[in-house]
Amino acid sequence: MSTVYDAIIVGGGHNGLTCAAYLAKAGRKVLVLEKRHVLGGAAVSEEIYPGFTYTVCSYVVSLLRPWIIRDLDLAKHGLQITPLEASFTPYPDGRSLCRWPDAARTREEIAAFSPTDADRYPEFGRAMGQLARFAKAVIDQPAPDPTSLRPKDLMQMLGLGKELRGLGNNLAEIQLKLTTMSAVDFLREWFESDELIAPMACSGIIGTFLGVKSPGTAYVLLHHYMGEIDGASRAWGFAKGGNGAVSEAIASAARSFGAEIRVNAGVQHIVVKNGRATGVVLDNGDELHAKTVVSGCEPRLTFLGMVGEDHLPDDFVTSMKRYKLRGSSAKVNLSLDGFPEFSSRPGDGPHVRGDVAICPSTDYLERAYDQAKYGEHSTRPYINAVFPTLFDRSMAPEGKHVLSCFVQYAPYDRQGGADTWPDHRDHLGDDVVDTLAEYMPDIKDRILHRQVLTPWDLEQEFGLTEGNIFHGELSLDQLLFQRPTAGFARYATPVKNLWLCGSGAHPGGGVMAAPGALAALHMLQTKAI
Amino acid sequence: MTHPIVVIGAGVEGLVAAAHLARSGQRVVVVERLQRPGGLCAGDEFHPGYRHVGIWHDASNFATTVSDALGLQLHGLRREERKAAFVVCPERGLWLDTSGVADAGYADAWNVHQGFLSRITPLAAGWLEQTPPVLSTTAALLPLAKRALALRRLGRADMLSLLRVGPSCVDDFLEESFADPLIRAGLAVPALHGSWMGPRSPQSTALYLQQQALCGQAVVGGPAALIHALVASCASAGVEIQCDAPVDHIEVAKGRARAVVLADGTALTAAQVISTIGPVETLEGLVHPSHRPVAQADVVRRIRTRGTFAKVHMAIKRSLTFKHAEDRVVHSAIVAAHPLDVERSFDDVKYRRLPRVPILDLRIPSHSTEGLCPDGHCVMSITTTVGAEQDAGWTAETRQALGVRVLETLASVTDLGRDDVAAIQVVTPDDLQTRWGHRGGHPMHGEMALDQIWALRPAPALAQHSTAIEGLYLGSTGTSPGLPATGLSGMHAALAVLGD
Repeated sequence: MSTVYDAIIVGGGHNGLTCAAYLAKAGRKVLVLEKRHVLGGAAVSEEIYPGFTYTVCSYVVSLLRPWIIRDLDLAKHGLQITPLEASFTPYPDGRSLCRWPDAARTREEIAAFSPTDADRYPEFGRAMGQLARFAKAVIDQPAPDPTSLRPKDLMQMLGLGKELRGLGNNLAEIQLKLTTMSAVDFLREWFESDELIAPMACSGIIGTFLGVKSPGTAYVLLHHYMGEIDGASRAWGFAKGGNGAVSEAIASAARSFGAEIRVNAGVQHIVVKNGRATGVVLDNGDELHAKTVVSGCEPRLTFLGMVGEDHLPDDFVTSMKRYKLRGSSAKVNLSLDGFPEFSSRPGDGPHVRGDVAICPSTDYLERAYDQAKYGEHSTRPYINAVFPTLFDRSMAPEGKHVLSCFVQYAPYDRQGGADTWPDHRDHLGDDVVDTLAEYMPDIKDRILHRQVLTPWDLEQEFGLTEGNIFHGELSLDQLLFQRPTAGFARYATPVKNLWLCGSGAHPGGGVMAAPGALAALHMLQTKAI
Repeated sequence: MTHPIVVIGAGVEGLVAAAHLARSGQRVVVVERLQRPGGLCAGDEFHPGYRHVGIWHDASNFATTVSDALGLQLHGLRREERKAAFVVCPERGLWLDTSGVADAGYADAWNVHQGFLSRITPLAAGWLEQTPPVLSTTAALLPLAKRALALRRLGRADMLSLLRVGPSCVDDFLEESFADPLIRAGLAVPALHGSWMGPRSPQSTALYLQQQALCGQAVVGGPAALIHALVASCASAGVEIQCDAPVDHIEVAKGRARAVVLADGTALTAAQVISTIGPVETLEGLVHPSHRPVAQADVVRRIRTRGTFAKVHMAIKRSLTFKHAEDRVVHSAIVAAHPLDVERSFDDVKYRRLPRVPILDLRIPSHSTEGLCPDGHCVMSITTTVGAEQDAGWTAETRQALGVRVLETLASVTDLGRDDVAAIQVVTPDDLQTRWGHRGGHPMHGEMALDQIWALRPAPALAQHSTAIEGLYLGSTGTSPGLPATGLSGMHAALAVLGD
């Protein structure tokens, strides 16, 4: 008789591992199964070229919830996060803007473009900080369900309603605008300088298939201000050792609580008997049994790929087919034989010890989006780049650097079909390098290695369906009680004993770990396990 | 003798407000800057012997509750079933009605789609036909709770569908039912007028649902006939309409609107003032800065009024045949091959250039109304998507270029030849601004977007039609519901005056 686990977790990404850690901590017998040879899913560090370690897919730690770091004691398991020091935006005309944690310095920088904007920037930050408090209340608990008339759900809605009322009229109005407006329109209500608006608006589109002028993109601006209330100056940071180190720390915590973790153990399908999940069958044919199965994989892959339509209600199958993934981003990792010089602000000073955003104007960003709308990658894309080697010398040989570039837009469903991506991979890589070279003229001579991961590669290699880094678009119709679909936003699924714990569940994507933790806590609370 | 209520603007909303107030026993004076009442709904002779029926060529949004309240039937208002629209591109055409989509193989999908709309839209119409509730953290929750409950009563499935599709982009929503791009383009185009959105923009479904909710029977004779009935109703109720009377400013004393001062210096002392020109035009254009409440100045500054609408009228010297229309008479047509073409046209708006291939939403009023042109000729009334801002500016050249592109597009789906056209009149967003006084060249005085509709139109603090200036009310399409010629904004403004 083989072991029966309390829970088998499909997928060893950071959410799966977090879920495992919480369940194991509560004394449950847990097994994590990871298809690849390394843990972390999309939050993974790998030595792709000798001496050079890349945070292959993701690039920064965004919004990793502080209560999870505390609950799992991740610092003890080796997690070290350095907050980004600055956000740097160079412009093609040789000017540049750097936004610092230090308000006075930022003010000076912005004033060079618009004194009015410099005045309004802190005011904007305060308003957003207060709203972030409200948003935090939403992402740190299971999604509210406005369709439910159960007293407990009504109480939760009432609680959120109270929080919203507590904001006061002005802020509540801003909150309404945040959920409905485009990032650019919203920012234009505050600021006049396009040089400031463009880099601020970018955070509204990361990982989405939307433009900065598409309605609904303003909401994500809030995420940048959530870090502030957690005590750190910025929401984004670097993990020492890359994002793989986040996953490793969570895995180490999970193991310390007794979780069992296997790599090279791909799940072929989830076994469902009489409407209940009873275990999984591995790629090698082994069947493993469990009282519950928790999937950290993307929902459509989980249900249509691993469970099968036969075990699911028709309308649920329809909703999974409708679930929007449409990956829109690529990752380009470069090994450099020295630090490249920005012509607008040379040197490897503090201005580059954060993220570098290539987004010179809102029209530039919108053009980039328009190309993608019609199935081409942006020849001049939005690039958000970081130099992890400025924080962590272990990631490249002495004197050498890594430049880790998040690139948008690269539509998964490109003209000619997704599987033509291999023919266009190098075009994309060339366009990215050409774009970078407009700001760092010497970069081309410094490139030792180049890794280009198109959305198609992200799907093939990491199981990110359609290359969507968030396991599903973060659009209003796929958030909160509708993530991944209405009626199933609380981690439960139409299959008994099958649960979701990945970025396709509330509150969504990013190296945040909240879906994994909330899923585990919800399962424990409802005595599902 | 008490002072009259002064209504600024004699468009549909102004005339509705005036008629309703007068019928309630108030003395009302309407002042209009142009020579005739009607605003964008006035018919006009645009070429000797050829008339159009309004810059807005469709009055099917006009609320029956309003026409009933004003007894407009007695003043000649007649309504009829809307004629099916024909969606056409050079390669094919399709009638947007039950039989047309059935021919294309979408009978079932059409029924499901219409079924959903028929369940959702009465609820939406019910909301839009009332003054929007106050959205404020200190307001009573009851009105909102009531609406939430009404939403819940749709049943779980419909409620969930509505919440799911509402924020989505209309092309995705329509694609769930219709793979045929022609059907999708035909349904989406009319919903996007007045918005800064293409069919791939999120939240465009909300606009589609709103438009479906308010669209009712057509007005026989079009908007011009509606204006005719409204003017008659006003006259019978004793409303005084002063045309050619542009307003210079609204006189405010101690925070209260006291008088409307005309450009010629005449001051009309007013008991109350209802402005049916846009909210921004009113509060920034007619109120002296020293009287503008500080708190509302920012709110007003933020109202977006970027026009995306132009109008082309064509006088055609013979009757016209549409390709693929077989033997049915086309009264209303949409010329667009694919939703992505509509999206491209929106891209052109963003980049401040003329549409490369214009998308047309046209009516042929001369097919249903007599006397608009010589017998055997026809009048084409065409709306198209064009940005108010053009890098090249609105010069004689750009206007002509727009006219030519529209003509070429029309020629690609009809038997029209260049020699058949007696005249082309191009009405640009620039004209809407300079001639009709619409800020930003926006025909509805404010963009249609989720953050500027219903209780947020034009802004939460102004959505109940009153302003921070006592006695000054807003009643243009810049307030809810915002669709052209509903009569609801004017009616609600009048009700607000009577209520206070």
